[in-house]
Amino acid sequence: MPTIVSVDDSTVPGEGSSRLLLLVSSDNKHIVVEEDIMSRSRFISKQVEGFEATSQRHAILLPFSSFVLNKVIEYCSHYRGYYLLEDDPDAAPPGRSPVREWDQEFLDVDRNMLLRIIKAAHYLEIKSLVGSCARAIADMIRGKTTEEMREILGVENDFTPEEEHSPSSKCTG
Amino acid sequence: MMSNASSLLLLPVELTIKVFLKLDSQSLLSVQLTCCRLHDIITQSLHLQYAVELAAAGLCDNPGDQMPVAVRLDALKRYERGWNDLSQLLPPLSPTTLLPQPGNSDTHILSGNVLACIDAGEEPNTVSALLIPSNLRGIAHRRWSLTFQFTAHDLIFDALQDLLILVSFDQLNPTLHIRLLSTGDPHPSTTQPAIPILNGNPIRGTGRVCGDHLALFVVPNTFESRNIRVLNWKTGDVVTQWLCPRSDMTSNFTSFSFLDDRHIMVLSTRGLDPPRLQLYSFLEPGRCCDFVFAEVIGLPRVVLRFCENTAPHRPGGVHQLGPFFTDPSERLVVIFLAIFGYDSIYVCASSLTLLSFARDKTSFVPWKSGWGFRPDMYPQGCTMVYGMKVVRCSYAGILSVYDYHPYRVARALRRQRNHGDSKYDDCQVSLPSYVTEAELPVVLRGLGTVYHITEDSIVVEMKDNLTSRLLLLTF
Repeated sequence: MPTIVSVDDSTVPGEGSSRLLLLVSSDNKHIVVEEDIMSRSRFISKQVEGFEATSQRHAILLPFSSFVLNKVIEYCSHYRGYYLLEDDPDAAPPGRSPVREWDQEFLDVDRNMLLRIIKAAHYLEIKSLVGSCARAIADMIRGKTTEEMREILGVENDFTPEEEHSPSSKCTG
Repeated sequence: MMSNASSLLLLPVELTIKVFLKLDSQSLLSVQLTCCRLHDIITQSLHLQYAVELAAAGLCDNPGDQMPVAVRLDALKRYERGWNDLSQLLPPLSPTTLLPQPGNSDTHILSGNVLACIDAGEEPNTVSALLIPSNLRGIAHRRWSLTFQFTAHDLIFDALQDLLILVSFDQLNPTLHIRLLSTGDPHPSTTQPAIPILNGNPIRGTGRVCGDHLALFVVPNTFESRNIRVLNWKTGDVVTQWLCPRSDMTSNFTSFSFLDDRHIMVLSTRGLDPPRLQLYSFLEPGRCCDFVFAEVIGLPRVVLRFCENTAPHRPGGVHQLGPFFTDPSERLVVIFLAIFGYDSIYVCASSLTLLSFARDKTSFVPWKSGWGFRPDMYPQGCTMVYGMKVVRCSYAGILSVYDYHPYRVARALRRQRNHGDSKYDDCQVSLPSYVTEAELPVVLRGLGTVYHITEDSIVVEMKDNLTSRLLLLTF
């Protein structure tokens, strides 16, 4: 585990006024990223506010791998400077979030990766990415049979035979 | 089976719920059967239960509404209970349930819970309107009048777009006046508040609005048979017009109805032949699809009446206050066939079924697939349509609701299998329907006929010797 590292603004050349953050993944990779790229994450923003209050900047430890973290940074870089309604805590909850083509391509990965990304996005509090991942997972199982869904979602049938043979009692309506 | 290392079960519950909220109800029901844990997540989440209930009721959520989910779920259940058990209908006990009759009763037109008519009294330039109250949407009853500087002969309106179109004959050509239903001012969405109708006269009571389009029967000045003219009321342009084949003077368009904002279904008769039902598209000129009635009728001479669906509620409309609304894409089309000296029958079909036939470019579709038909034992009984429901009222005082919505029929069938308490009717129809019946309150028997239904009320017209009143039955 890395100890608290002090990132001095003067030692790392930054682009414009944006300062740099040091993120540490669970596989102990150190990733330097511009602060305003990560401002989409509520979690990171809160950490940065903390730095400003204590005027001490240190690395942020994250509980997921660098592979996933890089993916999230890619997402945040793509939408750098964009306003996404879902991320706005003051906005009313959107009835139906928009489908973004770039997101669909970006999330064209296997289930395992998708689940890791959604967990990371949830940890980092990036609502728009959570929403896009949720949609991607839902798209994988939409319209499938129950048996196909088990295969796709990686769950096993653990109903007792009686429960399974009376699905109507299980169903609403 | 894949390893459980990457199973959905490892996600926090709130994320799993977020995923499931993006699913349609059918998929949600399938997910529910995959395993105990996911089943419990779905049945214990208020949001997911609401999503399932909403879809099973054939309704959509109103996106602009901020009402809490628990309240919506409650309203939805009350709504379902109301239609499944008509005996809960509240008879008109207090004076507030008596609706004042707006003007002369025979010219009422209805759209999106608003009744309107041209006052046939001393002031022919006054339009009276009445908003039917709704408990579900929290809409109070409202009545208002609009006065115009010209004499209106006919009116067409769409309450959801706050649109009132008046037809006047004061000038050289008949003119359409595009106004606001709420105030009577020129409609802000139109660039032409007065549209002249060239080379013909519109037939009274035939106008229909769907989205930007207005369709009318027009009798040309040249003594041809009537044609259907479609205008864009926002620009005043004629979009298209269809003429009956001129070679045969006995053929005539009888009635038409919008199926959606691109398709019009037209009934036409020709001499002694069985009536023809055709689907026309704005995008492709010419005939789109032809439906055959010969098998239903047997007798060649019939009188036809189209019962157009009252406009289903759409998001964004002026009266969109409630938590949910009827899916606007699916409508029930009812066609009455009154055979001379014999019982009348009516034919029901879902607009989605008809459009899917049209997309396949099949001409001459027999009526049997996806159509329902039913002999009418009480020809005097009145029938009204809302969403996918038809309400009939016999003179014996029995009120029957036939519901043709596929989800609700399937649900009723399931309930019947479990409890044996509901009525599922498919002996006479190929389009399955679910029937609920109730007796009208005693005071209304013999006097009342169903005048209109809305999402949570039934309006009954009561006729005494000379006067008629509208009564509201609600639940």
